[in-house]
Amino acid sequence: MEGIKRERMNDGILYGRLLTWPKVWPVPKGVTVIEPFKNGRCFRCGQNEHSPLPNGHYFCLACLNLGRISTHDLLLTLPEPNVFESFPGMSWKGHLTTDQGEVGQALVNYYRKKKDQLVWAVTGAGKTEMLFLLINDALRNGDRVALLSPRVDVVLELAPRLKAAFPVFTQVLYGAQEAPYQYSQFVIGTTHQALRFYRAFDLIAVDEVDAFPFRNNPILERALKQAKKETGSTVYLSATPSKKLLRQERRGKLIVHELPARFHGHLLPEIQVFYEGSNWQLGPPKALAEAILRWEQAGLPFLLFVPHVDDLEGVFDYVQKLTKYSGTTVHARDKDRLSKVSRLRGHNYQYLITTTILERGVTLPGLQVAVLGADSPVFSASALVQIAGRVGRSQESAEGDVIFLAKSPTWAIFQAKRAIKKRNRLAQKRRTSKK
Amino acid sequence: MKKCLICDKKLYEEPTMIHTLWGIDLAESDYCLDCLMAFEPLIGPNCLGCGRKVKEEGKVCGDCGYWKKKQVTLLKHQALYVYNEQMKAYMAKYKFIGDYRMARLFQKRMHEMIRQIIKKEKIDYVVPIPVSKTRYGTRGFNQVVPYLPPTPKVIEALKVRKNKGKDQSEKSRQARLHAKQPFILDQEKVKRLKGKRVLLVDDVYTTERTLYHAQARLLEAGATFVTSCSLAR
Repeated sequence: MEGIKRERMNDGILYGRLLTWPKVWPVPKGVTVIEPFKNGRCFRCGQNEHSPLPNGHYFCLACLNLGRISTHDLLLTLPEPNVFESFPGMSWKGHLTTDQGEVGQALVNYYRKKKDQLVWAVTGAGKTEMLFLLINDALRNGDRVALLSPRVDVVLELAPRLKAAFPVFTQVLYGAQEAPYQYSQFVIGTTHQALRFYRAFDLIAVDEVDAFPFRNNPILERALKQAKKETGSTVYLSATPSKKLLRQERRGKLIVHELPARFHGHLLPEIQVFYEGSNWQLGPPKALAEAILRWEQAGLPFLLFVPHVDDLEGVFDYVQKLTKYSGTTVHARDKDRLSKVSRLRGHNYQYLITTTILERGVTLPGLQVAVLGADSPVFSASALVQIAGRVGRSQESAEGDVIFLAKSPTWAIFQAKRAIKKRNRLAQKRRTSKK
Repeated sequence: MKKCLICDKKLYEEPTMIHTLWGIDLAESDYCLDCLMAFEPLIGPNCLGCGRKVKEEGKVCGDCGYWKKKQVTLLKHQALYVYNEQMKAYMAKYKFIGDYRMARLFQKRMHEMIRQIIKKEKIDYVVPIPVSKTRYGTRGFNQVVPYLPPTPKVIEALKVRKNKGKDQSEKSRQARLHAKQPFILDQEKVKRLKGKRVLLVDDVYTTERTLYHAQARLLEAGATFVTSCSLAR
C-alpha cells in the first residue's frame, strides 16, 4: 500500500486524469481535489445509480468495473500541461489513394478549425490510414491525442500498427491490462478508458462508434466529452453511423466526410438472403450446404455467424460433417479468441463459427461469410453491414459471397441490404462523375 | 438487463413471486447458476480443530496437530464452504473491489450457522474479527459484520493495532504464521467478557494464525471458552 502511494505521487500520472483517493490517505500538495458525488451524481460517469455502504455512505454502481468510487473517496487531478518532447513526424511511408488523401487533408484542415468530424466510410475503405495525416499533424503541434475504440480486439489490432507508424511513447489502455499507467502524448485504448481522463486530450478519434458497447451508451458519450479539453475536438469513424450522429450534421455541429468506395475501388459485395423454414439449429439449410461445398472447392476460408453462444456447438457438429476443412468455434468469453483468429489467418483453420464478436476487425483475403438465423434480434442492421463488410477486402479478391439464412424477413435485414445498395450506388455515381 | 455479480454474464430470469413462494433465496437471483454451483460446500468428516475435510471422523489434521503440541486449546472451527477458486473470485469482488451488494449472498446461511453454534455451545458473546482503521476508511465496511445475525450478543471487543505492516492477504503463509499479535482489546467492552463463552467470526480461515491470535487476546480478557466459525476454510 505504501508503495502504491509513493508511486502515485508522480505528477505525470495525474495530468488530465481522474484518480480515486481514499479520504484516509494524506492528500499530496498542489493537486486539484474533486468531490466524487454532487447531488448524488457520480462525477466520473455522471450516473445517479448507487448502492449503499454502512453508515450512510454509498458507492457508484455504473462505473464499478473501473474501480469503486464511494463517498469514502476523493478524486484527484492536475490540469493537462502538454509537456512533451517534440515529435519528429511519422515514420509511416504508405501510400493513400486520391479519395483517402482528400479526406485525410480535409480532416487536418477542419481539425485546425476545432470542428467535430465524422468519417463515414464503408468497411474496408482504409479509415485508419486516413487518420494518419491527422494524428501526425496533431502530434507535431504538441497536442495530446487519443485513439479509442469500443472493442478490445480492435485496440489490440491497431496498437502495433500505430506504434510502428508514430515514433512517440504510446500508452495502450484496456480493461484486462496489467502494466501501470504512464503519462504519454499518444494514447490508444478502449472507450471505457475515457472515463479515467478529465480534460486531457486535444484530439480524440473514436473508431467504430456504432459498435457495442459505445452505441446508445450515455455514460461513454459523456465520458468522451469529459476526456477531451474544453477546446478539444472529436473525430468519429464509422461505416454505419447512427441517426443521432447524422442529426448533428444537420444542426451544424458535425462535419461529415463520406467515402462510399473501398480503397481498391471495387463495390461492396451485396447480401444474398435465403429464406428457409427448416430449423437451422438441428440441420444445415440447403443454401448453406451448397455454399460450403462451393467454397471448399475454391479453397476459400469462411466465417459462419450464429446468434447465440449456445448455438455454436450444434452448428459446429453438422458443419464438421459437411466439409473436410478444419475449424473451431469462437465466442466473447473464449480465452483463446485471439489465438484462434490468428490461426485462421495462418491457414491452420479454414473456418470459424462465431457470434457477433468477430463482426469487426477480422481481415483475411478471400474470406466468405454466412449468417445463420439472420432474423434474430441479436443482429442489428449495423452488425449485418459489418458482417457483410468482412468480404472482399483485399485487392486480389474483391468479390465474394455474403449469405444470410433466415426464416422470415426482418427490418434489420432490409435496412442492411438497403444501406449497402445505397453506398454502392453513390460510389458508382462518383466514379462516373469523375470520369 | 441484470448481470451476474461475479462473472458479468447476462441474467435473463428476473425473480418473481414464485421464487419467494418456493422459498428460493432472493439473494441468489443476482448470480448465474454456474457461479452458484461452483461454490463447494465443506462436508465432513471434518477436522476437530479447524473444520477442514479429513479422512476419518474424530481426527485432527496436520496443522492442528502442531497447535495441539504447542498446548493451545483447539478452536473447534466450523466453516460453510471450501476456499476454492470461486470463493477467491467472490472475495476479490466483495472485499477488494468493495462491492457491498455481495454480502447478501451468504448472509442467510451465515446467520443460520451462527445461531446454531450459539445454541449448541451456549455462547454468550459473538465477536467479529476487526479491520484496521485505514482499511475501514478505504473499504467502507468490515466484511464480517454483515454475516452476523442481529442479536444483542454481538460485541466488537477486538481492534487492530496500528502498524505499518503488509495486509494479511499480501503475505505468504510462512509470513502469516510468524506474524506478531495484531489485535488489541477494546478496554470498555472487554469487561463484559470475563467468565463468558465467546464465538469468533471471520470471513476466510486460511492459516490458523489470525484466529489463534484473537483467541489468545480473548482468553487474556478472561473468557472461559473460545470457538470460531467462518464463511470459507
